[in-house]
Amino acid sequence: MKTLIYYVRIYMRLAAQDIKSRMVYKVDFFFGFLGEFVINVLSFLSIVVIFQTIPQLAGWDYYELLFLYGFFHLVRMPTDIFFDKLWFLQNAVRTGDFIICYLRPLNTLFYFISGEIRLKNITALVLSVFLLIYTGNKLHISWTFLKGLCFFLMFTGSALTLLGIRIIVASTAFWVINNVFLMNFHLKLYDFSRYPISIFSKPFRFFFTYVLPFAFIAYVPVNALLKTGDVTLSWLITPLVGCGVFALACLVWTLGVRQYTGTGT
Amino acid sequence: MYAYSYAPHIKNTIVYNAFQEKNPGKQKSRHILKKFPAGLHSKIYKKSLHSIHVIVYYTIIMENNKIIEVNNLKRYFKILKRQEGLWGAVKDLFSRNYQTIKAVDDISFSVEKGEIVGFIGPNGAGKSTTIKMLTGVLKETAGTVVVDSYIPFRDRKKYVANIGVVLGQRSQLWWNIPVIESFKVLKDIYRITDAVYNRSLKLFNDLVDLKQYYHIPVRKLSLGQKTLCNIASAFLHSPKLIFLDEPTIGLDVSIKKNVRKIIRTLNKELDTTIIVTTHDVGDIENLCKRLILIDKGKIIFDGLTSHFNQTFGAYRTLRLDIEHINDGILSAMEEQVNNQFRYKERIAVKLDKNGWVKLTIDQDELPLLDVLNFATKTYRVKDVKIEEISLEDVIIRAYEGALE
Repeated sequence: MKTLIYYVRIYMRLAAQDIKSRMVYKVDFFFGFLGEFVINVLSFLSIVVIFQTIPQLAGWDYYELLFLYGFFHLVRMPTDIFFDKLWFLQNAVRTGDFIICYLRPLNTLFYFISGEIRLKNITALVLSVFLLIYTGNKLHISWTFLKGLCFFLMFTGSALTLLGIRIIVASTAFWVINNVFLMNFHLKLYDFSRYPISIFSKPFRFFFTYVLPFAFIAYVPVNALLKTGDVTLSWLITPLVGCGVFALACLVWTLGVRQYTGTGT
Repeated sequence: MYAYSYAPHIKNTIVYNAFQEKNPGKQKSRHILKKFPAGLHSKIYKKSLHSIHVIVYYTIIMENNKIIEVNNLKRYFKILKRQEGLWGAVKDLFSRNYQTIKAVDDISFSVEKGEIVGFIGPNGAGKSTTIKMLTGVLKETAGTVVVDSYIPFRDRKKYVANIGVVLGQRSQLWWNIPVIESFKVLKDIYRITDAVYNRSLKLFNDLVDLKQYYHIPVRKLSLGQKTLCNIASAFLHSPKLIFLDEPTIGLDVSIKKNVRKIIRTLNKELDTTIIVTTHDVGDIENLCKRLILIDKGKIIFDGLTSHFNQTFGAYRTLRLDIEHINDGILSAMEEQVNNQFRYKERIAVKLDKNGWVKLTIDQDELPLLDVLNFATKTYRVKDVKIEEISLEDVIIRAYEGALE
């Protein structure tokens, strides 16, 4: 607990400084927000247009698809807001700047990702919350306390799954140095998880469930919530997968950190 | 019943064994640990051995005045032997043709508290690798490193809280945050008390007037200012040991002077042990009482800087002002000197920029006075100067000799 407070304190301080320093460039700050907002609204509208022309997609109707889309965006928030620096890992590894992470009495992953907070993504957060409430109303989801708790657990599990996969893919930088290709490839695959996995053919479903478990980012929890009615034990699969993937990610990161040798000076 | 025994794998180590017939309770273990100062006990192993539970506490006890102990340290890298061309790159994908590079090959040394030690050596000699092992970044292939009773790689998180590291070519402060805010974050990270924090800042303000940079984001500082701030940040928590990796690289003369002043003061006032790697002769002359020269992963010289000159031969430079000197006389003189004396190599006789004749000779091989006598008898010598060879020349000789 003491350690947690210690880490949170440091994180808050760095985040506050980061936000402050970004606000110095008022125009950049403003346009960053505006740009992100426009991108999010446009991608949302494009989805709306597509889904409106197809009344049903593998047994999912319009509002269900939108709910899935909203959940997908909600899940990516923790990773995109707090762990954005993972995109720069290969750069830090290549230039040798990553060495500095070893020199602080802190967890290397924590030290690496702290000090960089992407507030811009809050626009997407607002949009996705709005979408979830709106479609949730239309779908007449009967919320109970247990359901709410399960929703939260599933959201956490999904977020951990996404974060875990991102960490694992980014960690490949410790071995292959230039992993931009891998990062982009995993992003392309991850985009598929905003659709119901049931629309894909069997091999793809197998891949998204067991190899890169993107199915657990949105499809599995939303399917449980919308299609199974009452809370069952199977709802806990997503949190379990999330914890598993995240634990694996921590292991991969640690192995990478242990074998990284830095650059010559 | 308790017993001390010697652990062969770590020199200067005492293994503290606690045997108990029954499963030892928590209270008991705590009681044993209390006997050692905090931070000394490294790890507790619990083993079950012939139904007797054995706890091994091992504690590294170094001689009181030592801060670094390195024994038979090795670090090897496995590197794929690359082949040329595109086809070669494809073949590499399936190749198992690894080559072992001995970056650090069996070095041992120790450092006493309060020393300033210079680490020198040509590029690629293994200095950086050694420093990385000392700072807990790299795991050693074989041998042991013990610093301040920690094993750096294994105890990284705890260990690095007690040291400071400055990498000359890399800023460790957050680039978009004002300097003073960076310091405040470090204050939190290292849990620095207000008293220590204020003392450190005051020290730096007295030395280099750091205050003027406080509110500037790091990225806007010049290289020199950045280096000063980086050094300050490494000293904030007043660590016992500091590693400085090329602290004066790329700095102008006056900032170099300031940096050296800081290092000397901190060493003197806070008794900080300092390890400097550098290519700058000025750093060595002004800072380091002791030098460790590494080449090809081995220690070639370890001793006082003042002894360094003699280790590579007691070289002296003889300068003679000779009347009507010209190229003809010069080459004739070189011929005569080499005929007259037996020396390990051909003695080069050259003109320096002031028009003086210059010879560099190892005193141990050939007494300089003999050459001087010979020269004064043979030529019209107006003036004589005898100089000790500069440290820079010795280092160059050492590097070149070492590289042969």
